[in-house]
This record gives sequence, C-alpha cells and structure tokens, in this order.
Amino acid sequence: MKKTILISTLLLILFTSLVKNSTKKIEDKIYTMNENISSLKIKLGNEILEYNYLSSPDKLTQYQLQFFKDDFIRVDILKIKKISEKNNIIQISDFVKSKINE
Amino acid sequence: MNNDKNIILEEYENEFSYKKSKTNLNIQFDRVAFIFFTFLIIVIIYSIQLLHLGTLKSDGTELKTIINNKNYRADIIDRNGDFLVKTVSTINVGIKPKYVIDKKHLLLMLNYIYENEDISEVKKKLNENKFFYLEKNISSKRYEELMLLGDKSIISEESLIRLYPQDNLFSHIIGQIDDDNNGISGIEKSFDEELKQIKDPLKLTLDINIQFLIREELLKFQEIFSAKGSAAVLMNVNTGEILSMVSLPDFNLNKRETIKDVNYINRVTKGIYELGSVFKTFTIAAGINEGLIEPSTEFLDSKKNIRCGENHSIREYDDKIPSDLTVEQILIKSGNIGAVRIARKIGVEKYKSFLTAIGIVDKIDFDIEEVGKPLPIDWNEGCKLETISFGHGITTTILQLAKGYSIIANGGYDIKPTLIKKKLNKKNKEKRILKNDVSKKMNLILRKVVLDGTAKLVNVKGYQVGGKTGTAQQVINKEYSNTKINTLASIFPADKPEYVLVVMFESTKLANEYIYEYRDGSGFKLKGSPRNTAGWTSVEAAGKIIEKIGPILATKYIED
Repeated sequence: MKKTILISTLLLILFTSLVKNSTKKIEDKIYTMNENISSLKIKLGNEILEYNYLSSPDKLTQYQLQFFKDDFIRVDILKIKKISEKNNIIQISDFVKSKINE
Repeated sequence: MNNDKNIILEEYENEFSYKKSKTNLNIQFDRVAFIFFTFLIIVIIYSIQLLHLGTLKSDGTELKTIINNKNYRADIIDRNGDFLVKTVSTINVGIKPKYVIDKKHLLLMLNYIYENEDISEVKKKLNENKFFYLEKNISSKRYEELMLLGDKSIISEESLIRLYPQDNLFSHIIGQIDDDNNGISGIEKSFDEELKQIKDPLKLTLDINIQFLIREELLKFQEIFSAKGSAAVLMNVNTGEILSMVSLPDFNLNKRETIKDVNYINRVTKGIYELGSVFKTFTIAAGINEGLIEPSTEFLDSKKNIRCGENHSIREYDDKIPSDLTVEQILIKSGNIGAVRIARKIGVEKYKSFLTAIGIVDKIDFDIEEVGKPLPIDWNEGCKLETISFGHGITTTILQLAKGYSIIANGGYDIKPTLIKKKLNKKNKEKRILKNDVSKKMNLILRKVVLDGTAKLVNVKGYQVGGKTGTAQQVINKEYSNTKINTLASIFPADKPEYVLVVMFESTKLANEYIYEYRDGSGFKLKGSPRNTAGWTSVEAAGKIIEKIGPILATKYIED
C-alpha cells in the first residue's frame, strides 16, 4: 500500500514536471508568436494605411481623370439587373430592391 | 592465618531488558508518512501552479508598453475599417554637440547627406553645445545614411505621430490634438481618455466614400452659389448612425494649424440657425400627432396677411398661394398662414412639448463637444407660437433638424444621433414618441412636396425622395439681414425611409451661369437661378448628392 502511494506520488511528480515542461515550451511558442503577430500587425497597419491613401476617393478621382477620362459611363441603377440561380432556375431581378423603385 | 572469608557469590540479577521506546511515535511508519506528506504538499503546489498557468491569459506586456507611451492614441477607422486617423511610429534624429569629436568632419558629412539643403543652422547649433533635433520624422533612407556615419553624437529616438490620411475630409469630426497628446476638439477631445487606453481602433459610423462625394458636391455648389459656408448631414433614420457629416470650409488636420476663424465652425453641430419653412413639417406633424388635423383637413378663407399681437404682421411669401388649402397643400405650397392656423389649433403647450420631444429646442447630447445650444424661446412673447409655426423666431442646429425629421419619418421612434459604431440590437428600439400613423401620413406629404412643391429638383429617379425646403433670412447681430440660409431636409425612400439628408447653404447668391436640368422628364433646362431660395440652391445640390451616393446606399447598405 505504502509502496503504491509512494510510486504513484513519484509518478505524479514526474507527470507534473513533464506537463510543466511542455507548458513552458507552449508558453515560449505563444510568446514568440505574439511577438511576430504584433510586428506583423504593425506592418499590416502600415500597408492598409498606404492602401487607404492610394485608394482614397480623392486619389481614385484623380486617376480616373488622368487615365480613364472618357472610359466610364453613368448607368441608371434601375436598369441594372441581378442574375440568381435557385433550384436550377435562373432568375433575373432588379439589382436595387423594388422599394426604391417607383 | 586462616581467614575464613567466605565469598558469597550471589547471582547478579540484571534488571535491564530491551524494551521498545515508550514514545507514541512509530518512527518507521512516520518517516514514510512524512515523506509522503512532503511530496503531497509539493504535488499540490505544483498542481496549483499548473492550474494557475493554465488559466493565465497573456498579460499584454507589449501592448501595455505601447499604451504606456505618452504619445499613444488608438487609431480611428470608418465603418468599413479604413483609416481616418492612424498613429505611426517615426524616428527623430538629433545631435549632442558635446559628443562630437570632429565638428568639421561631421559638418562635411552632413553637407554630403543634405546636399540640397542649407546646414548653416546646424553649424550654429553645434556651437551652442545643446542637444538639438537634426530632423524629425526622418525617412528610412536618410536615417540609414546618418547612422552609417557612426558618429556617437548622432542620437536617434522613436516617436509616435498622428496621421490623417484623408486630410480635410473629416476635420470637424475628428478634431485636433495638442503637442502633449491631448485632444482639443472633435472626437479626439470627447474620446481622449478612451483613445489613450483602448487597443483596438475606434470605429465610427462614417463612410469615407459617401463623405467624399457629399463634400465634393458641396464644394462645387458652394462655389456656384458663392456661399459663405455649407453643411450636410446624412443619417440613418432608424439607428441614428451618421454616415456623413460635412461642414465647409474645413481644414487640413495634418497641418496642425490653430483655427480661430469662426467661419470654420462645425455648421452641422455648432452653428445654430433659424431655418425657416422646414419647421412647417413639425407644425403639421404635431397637429396630426394630437389628432387635430389630417392631411386632407381643409383650412378655408385664409387671409393673405394676418395680424399677430399688436405690432406683428404675418403674410405669405408668395401672394399666389390660394386662400383655401388642405393640410398637405399647406406644406406643398409652403403656406405661412396655414401653418399659423394649425399652430393656433395645437396651442402653445402641446406644440412646445412636441418640439421638445423630438429634440429641437434643447441642446443635443452628442459624441463631440462642439455642439450649439438653441437660443431660449420666450413662449409668452406675443407672437412666438405663430412665427415658430413657419420657422421664424426659433433656432436649432442642422443635426437636430436631421434628428427631428428622422423621428417623423421612422415611425415616431426616438433616436440618438451618433458617430460611434456600436453593435446594434434591433429589438432594442428607442421609445416611440409619436403616434403610429404620423410617419405614414407625413412621409406621403413630404414626397408630394418633392413631386409638386418647392423641392422638385431633388426628385432623383428611383429614390423616392421626400423633403421640405426652408429659406430664412440670416440673423446677424440680432437683426434680420438680406443674406439667406437655404436648407433642404429630405428623407428617402419615402415609402419606408432609411436615410435623412439635410443640406444647408449659408449666404448664397444667384448663379447666373448655372444650368438647371429639370427632373420631371421634360428635359427642360434653365440657365441661371430665378430666385435665391432653397428650392434653387440646396435642393439642386441635394439632388446631385443623392444621384451620386444613392447607388452606394442602395447596393452597399441594402442588407444593413
């Protein structure tokens, strides 16, 4: 009985140490990942900032005037249709819901 | 000698006998128990620690470091996640003159790096022996060049700066910060503490694209009508979320200028104006809400000119307005006398409580601090009820006007205009303050104002715009002047309104060269504005705005 208790205690300690060890390793990994993520986040933030600046409506308008001055035409939104498929049946409906159609 | 000495040997009785210790301690057993107990304690400690480690979350040490930086402020994004404000880290480079070994050599190298710039100032500062900044927010290329010099007197430090990628677009909303990283206006001020503490960006309800389109149109028409300033606000009538809020003139936040000119005030929230006939909508809505009138109720034999009190005389702005009008015709034709008759029917107390309920007369509680307080009204003054019924003698802000129209359009539910994007709980609607049928009736009348009344130029095909115009004389130094405040308050789509758009121009002039294209399908064009009224200024601008933002609202936000 005593031996059993002693051995199980020792095993428990051994198991605890192993768990603790692996926890430590996981912790290290998490820490490293967090560090990497935060630096990537900063990088991503800067990239988004650049993207926001380059694709801002102001810039896009400038590009449009510069490169595609006469390439765009205004289309009446009421004339735009939406194609959808339901039960193998193709349906064509107004792109804008009927509530804004008169 | 015979000593008879007898030796008697006696048996020695040794009384010693081994006995077990009489102590109660069982050494053999207790030793094991002791070791077991010690191990048990250790195991318990380990287990507790393991459990503790298992439940421990990241302490965010790194984040705390950033947040603890005295210049840290969270970013601000629009409803689509695009940056309106971003804090970025930059590097400043300075020189500590006392560590300079060879000044001549250093100056020569700096001259080489800054080949097109005058470095005489640097030379002067080097002789002063005090630390000075060589360049702030330095580019990475130049930073590398300077560091390659290997001079220990060149010191670099990281700093955080606030960038506004949209320049002027949100100047009145975002506001400014001072050199000590404290917000001094706009969102930067009212959310100062939050911005210094939160890790995620502050999300606003605004949309960059819509804001840009509205601003572009306002700029264009401000020039066409030679207006001193203009404002527009676009708000969701059901949630109070503001998608766009433009006030012109505006300023570039990146320049960090001190703005003292009152012309740069936020005309949507801070400027208080008499807005004229847009108030007739409230008069009629109050009458319907009280059950006193219906859209078809007739007001017959109205005089062209009525006396009010001893000295006041109220007349129609246009003598062609008929004497017999129904309630809806009063709004369509913008009749002053009809509005006065309805207001008298309602009475001061009920009319006053109606305006208070829809948030017109008191200072509004809003997300930024630059909010104007409507001038107090002396309801006992002779003619107050009558003049207020058609929008004179009462002031409010453009934002409050938008709120009032939203409540009238959304089924009568109270809303709180907001710039901060929150998770919406659709069930959690604000309390209803108007009777059930008021909105339905009012939306129909407002639609008729656009179809047959003073706001025809905003009748953009496909959007069922409803609205009411207001042309008021501007009060300057407590006197009515000849300058005009031209306003359009519109809602769309009128059958189930989702948005309210208010457009206001301050101090407009006739545009003789501008060509109006009628929206009645006739293809008729008119050169030059016939009148300096809202119908020929704000309405035209609002029409062009809806034409541009409409497709975005109809497609992008259709599922919202």
